[in-house]
Amino acid sequence: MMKKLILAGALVVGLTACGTSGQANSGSQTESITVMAASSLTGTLTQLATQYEADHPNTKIVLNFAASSTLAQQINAGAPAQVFVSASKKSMDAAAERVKSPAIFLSNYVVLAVPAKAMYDPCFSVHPCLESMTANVMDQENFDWIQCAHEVPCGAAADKATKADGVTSKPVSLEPDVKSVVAKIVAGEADGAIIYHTDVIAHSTLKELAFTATKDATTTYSIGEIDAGNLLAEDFISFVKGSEGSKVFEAAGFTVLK
Amino acid sequence: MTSRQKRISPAVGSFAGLGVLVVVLPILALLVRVPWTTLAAELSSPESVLALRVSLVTSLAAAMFSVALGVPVAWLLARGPQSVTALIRPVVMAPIVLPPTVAGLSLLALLGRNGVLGRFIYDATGYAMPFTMIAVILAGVFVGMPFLIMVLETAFVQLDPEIEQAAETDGAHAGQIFWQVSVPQVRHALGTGAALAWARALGEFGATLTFAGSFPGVTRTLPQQVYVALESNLSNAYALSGLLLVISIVMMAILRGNLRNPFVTPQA
Repeated sequence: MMKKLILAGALVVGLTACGTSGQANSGSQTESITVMAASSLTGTLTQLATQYEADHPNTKIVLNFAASSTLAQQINAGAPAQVFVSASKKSMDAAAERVKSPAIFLSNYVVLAVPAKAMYDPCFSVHPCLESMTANVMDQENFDWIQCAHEVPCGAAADKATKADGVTSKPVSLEPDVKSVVAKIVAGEADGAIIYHTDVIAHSTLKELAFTATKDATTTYSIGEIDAGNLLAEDFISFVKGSEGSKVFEAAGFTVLK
Repeated sequence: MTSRQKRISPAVGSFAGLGVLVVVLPILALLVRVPWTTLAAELSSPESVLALRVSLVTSLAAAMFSVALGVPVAWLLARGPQSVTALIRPVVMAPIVLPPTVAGLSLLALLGRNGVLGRFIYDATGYAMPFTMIAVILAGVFVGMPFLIMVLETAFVQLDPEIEQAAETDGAHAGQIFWQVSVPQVRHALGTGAALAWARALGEFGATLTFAGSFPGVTRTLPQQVYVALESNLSNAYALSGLLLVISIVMMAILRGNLRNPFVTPQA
């Protein structure tokens, strides 16, 4: 019995050792970092990473997108990544143990997205243009709308915005991240969805109604290095925060914070 | 027993040991994290209770529909003309290996508001299936029924045709033979198949999320609640995971004999 266990142990150690040496070898050729980023940055960061890789031969930026709260969990659980870009301060704070000095660099806000062909141009149909337009639309009978789960940043922002605007109806689904909400409204499965302004900009089949309580609907993005000391990670962060990054983010509808 | 043990070579033994560890260690780790002292409170929290209810109702309904529709399908596959069954079998079995998200997308493609069929239903009646409990049940049938069909087809194929012939000689018609002669003989396999279909529906995540969404009390099932709780309430996630794990292990313990030999004919 003991013998078998030792053999099994040796196998495990052997396999692990192979893995480590393999990584070290490839590292001398191409330097690679993993960036964990909020779902809402999928388009912009993909573009920036491609641009960065083109400018810096032998670098590889691996991107992983999910809800910021999910990513914070994974980072705390020891995920091997070097950069964290969070869609909320709360999620960035949750990863504070590994991300020491994050910087707030973008802001975005949630809106009510409706199909571009839908007839909810509020100031057309209802006079005068009431302050709580979103509530008028969302509280209509048979208006099925969806949002992110309360636990993730886009859901928290949606909760604050609907509350401030006095929306009384309830969503028909609380999706685990904003990608999932966007997919369903783009597919036409709902009448409305609370997603980011930037998501609407990215989809020509959608248009948006802004919440009156813009302050409540706003979320800020922060970026920080996980476990300080990686030069490539630090350079990529300054690139993202720099003028090239700003250009891409602004074109996508984000507000760049200085 | 001892003579059997001796036949396992050290090499096979060590790989077997590794294989067992791959499964057992994560399960043990999960059990370590389950908050046993506050388990009752975690399982009776409002979100847990809602998710439990949704999961129980939808998975049981899915198992019932799987039996009602899957038994005839298994019969068709076992006894139908080869040319037909060879075409149908791979398709109805596909959900067993299909990624659940793809399963959900298929259902959405058919029955979503803009679906191939769903758009006509929506235009005519204003009814859309996504975001309803029916959608969760249908997702459960889609992924669960193939397991029942698989087990039951094997059982039907193994049946002694002489018993059915005897019934026919005695004047029983096809329906009677099916319900009163063939089905009772495969009741063990039926139990196994129904249990597998139920368990598969209970554990479904991707198809449910893609097709039905996630709303507490309507479409948010236990696995979805676990996923959401991961963000905010880790001990709740572990408590619910512990419950699902216990259900799975207990079920496998009960089914062991049946799974090994699903087509056992009942003791006379």
